[in-house]
Amino acid sequence: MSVHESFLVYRGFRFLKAAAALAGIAILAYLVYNPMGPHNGGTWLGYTLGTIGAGLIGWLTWLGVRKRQYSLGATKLQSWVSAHVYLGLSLLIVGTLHTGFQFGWNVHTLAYALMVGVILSGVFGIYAYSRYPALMTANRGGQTLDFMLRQLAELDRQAREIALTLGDEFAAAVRSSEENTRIGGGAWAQLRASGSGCATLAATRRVEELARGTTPELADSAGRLLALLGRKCDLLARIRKEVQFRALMEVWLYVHVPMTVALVVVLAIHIIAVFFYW
Amino acid sequence: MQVLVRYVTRRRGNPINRDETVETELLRIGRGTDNALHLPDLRVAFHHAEVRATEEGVHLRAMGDSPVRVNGNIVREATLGEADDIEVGPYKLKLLPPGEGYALGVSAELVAPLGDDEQRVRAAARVGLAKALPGKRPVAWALALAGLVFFLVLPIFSFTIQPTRTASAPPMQTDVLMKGHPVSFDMVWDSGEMSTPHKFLSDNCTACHKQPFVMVQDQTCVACHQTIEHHADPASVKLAALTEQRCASCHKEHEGHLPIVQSDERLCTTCHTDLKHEMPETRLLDAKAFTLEGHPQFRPSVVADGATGKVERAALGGEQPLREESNLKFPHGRHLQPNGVKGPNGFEKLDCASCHATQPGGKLFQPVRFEENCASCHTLGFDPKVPARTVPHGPAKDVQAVVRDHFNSVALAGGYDDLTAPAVVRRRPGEPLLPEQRAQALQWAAVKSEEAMERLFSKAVCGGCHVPVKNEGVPAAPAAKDGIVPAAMTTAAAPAAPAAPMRWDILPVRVATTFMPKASFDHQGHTSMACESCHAASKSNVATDLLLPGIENCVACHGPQNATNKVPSECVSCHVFHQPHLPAMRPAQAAKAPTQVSEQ
Repeated sequence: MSVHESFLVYRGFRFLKAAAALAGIAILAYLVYNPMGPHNGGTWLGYTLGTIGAGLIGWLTWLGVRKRQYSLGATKLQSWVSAHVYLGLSLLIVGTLHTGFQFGWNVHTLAYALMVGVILSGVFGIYAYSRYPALMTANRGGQTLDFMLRQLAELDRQAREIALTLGDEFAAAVRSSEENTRIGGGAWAQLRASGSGCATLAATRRVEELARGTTPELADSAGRLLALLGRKCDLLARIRKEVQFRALMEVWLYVHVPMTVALVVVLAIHIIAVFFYW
Repeated sequence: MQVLVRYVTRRRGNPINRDETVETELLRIGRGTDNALHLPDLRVAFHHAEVRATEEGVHLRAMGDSPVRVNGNIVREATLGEADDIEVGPYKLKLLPPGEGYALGVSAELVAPLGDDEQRVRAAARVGLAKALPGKRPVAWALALAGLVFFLVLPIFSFTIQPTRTASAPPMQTDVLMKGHPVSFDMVWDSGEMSTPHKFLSDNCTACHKQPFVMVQDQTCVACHQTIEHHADPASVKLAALTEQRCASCHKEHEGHLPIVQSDERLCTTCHTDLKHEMPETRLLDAKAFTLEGHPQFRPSVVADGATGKVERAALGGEQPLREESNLKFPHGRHLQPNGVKGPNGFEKLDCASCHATQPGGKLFQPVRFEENCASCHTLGFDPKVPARTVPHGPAKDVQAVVRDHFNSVALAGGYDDLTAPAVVRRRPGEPLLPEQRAQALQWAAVKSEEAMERLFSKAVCGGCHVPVKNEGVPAAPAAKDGIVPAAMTTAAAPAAPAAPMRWDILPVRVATTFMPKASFDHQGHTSMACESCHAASKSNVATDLLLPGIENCVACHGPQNATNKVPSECVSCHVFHQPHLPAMRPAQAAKAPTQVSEQ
């Protein structure tokens, strides 16, 4: 058994049970309660679910503050994260039942949509945190990104060395591989991790082509260069995969966090508006 | 030709020279090892350039398209001097001053080394989203700010400038209400579509929401709905359940397509399941659902005494069937014989619709009228010798006047074909009458009139359907004098004259227009059913039969609102909350002086 206990299984799914109980009670109450007129946020059950939902949103948002309070200890923080995840998921049910499935183009449904957006991005976060670390370890093969970058530099150096003895076209290919190979870049490039436009791949193909037409005495060097560039391509693929995983691990937060702030503001407006035009 | 090639490297800024002397006519420069000036860097072409010393000077020529810079300018060829800076790739070349033993001297120094590969790779790798995406914090602030502006500040601003906020009633300022919003940002607060009758107010929040954080007031509703009546007489019923409710407690808005009138039976049954608990003095029976057990048997209001018109209310289906004393005799069954009834044109098959026609709208029925529904079979003749002469279907005095008028007329005219009549009545028409003959004729007419009246009002004609009354105390009419019929006996009697008691009269017909005034039944919704399925008319042979179906008849098809195998029927399917005969539930108050903002 792993020494590390995931936030998902924290203390024997304590918070999963609590959240499931909350969602179950909410669903049961919704099914049992038969209001005069349709279900919506204005019945007493609607007000109750709305109050619970708003309370949950406030508490869940507090994690953003709490997680920066390192002095309170890691274990307690893990407990917070576990509760954050499961109660956050139960919020989807509580919030949805609060709406009574009445939606429209208004600030009320906007608050709901933001809540769903925050929760869904959080669900992706749970997925990322539970799945990618293992994939990342496997991809790195016991190395670090730093080490892989150093390897890349070394391959460049060796390629240059070999290319010195080869013709200018070889040299141009090697230089292009060295200068034009992109790692990461914009958010989309990092997330895509595509190597299809990779300069090293192009250089490899070029060298392969050149090697066919080379003189026998240079064939050996050309072959070694080709092998070197092939290794660089493999290494680049792994580096890009690592970059992609890192981006995936954090990209959801760029949705989750600003949307949470927007949600808190719109939720407050939703509550004000409901009672402003009572 | 001897050429000196000097490779310069530096240690702590101090040059260290490595000199080579080569024997060549042409100094080749390049990355390849076959070059006399060998520059091992990929940024240098394999054969980059060549330098030749002649009598005229030192000439440089770039090979292929390899760039060579002299004093910063790219050149293909150049004549070089010692002062010139020559750049080949990352190397800086200089001509050395002529010296002993060589005709040409060139130094080469790597001035732009490649640098650390690791640093280069690391610098080129853009890892992490922090620099690739806008920061979380500024985006969060922007979203929050946009939310505040568009969903709070602008809507509140919209609210404050609405003219309808102060439009109060009565009278309703329809033109103001209809105008809508000049700026409609508060529409983002609209929680749902308005009900159909209120949809014209959809873009006008302040038509109803007049004060912030205050529920919509009843006075706002009665600005338009001024005559909505009470549910129970406010003088005697003071239930909190009625007085403490708002209009909007029952009439929920912003529920989209749902009707503004709520039909949930719990709105009624919360009180009416056990009304005596709240109102011990009430005579209303409890009802909790439209079932045999949950709803009392129907209790029609029926005329129990035809003479006085006294109405009594009692439940159907009791031990003694209810009797409606309408003072009419009408055997439904005899008119609905399967083979028909004998009419002027032979046997005629009648059905309900032969006599009963629905009112416009189809909810209730028009009254049956003698002239339209009965007269074709039931003639009102009274003189067998003149069968075409009939009495009107109207007040007894009109009947009496017509009868007397007829016999006076034939008696005086003569020629009456009746052997029992005196000769003067049977004389040839046109023969003048002596006064005593006239008196004799009128005497006959008076007797004859009385006989005819007796027969008419008896069971034979009027009495066939009505209840005739013979006032024995009123004497038979005296004979008319001199052929002048006493005024009181003619149809032209002064309308204002007090009605003298008639010898013959008819008890007033007391047919109910509705038996259950507190319930509403719509025949239109039941047209697919046979009349007989509710009204057993063909089995009824006396008019006192109350042909009303009991609740058991209705619950065969109708059930409570949550019924799954019957027509769900809430209380308001048959009953109304606001009782039309009661005063206004929320009387409109006089308009107050505007207190919030002046009207715009």
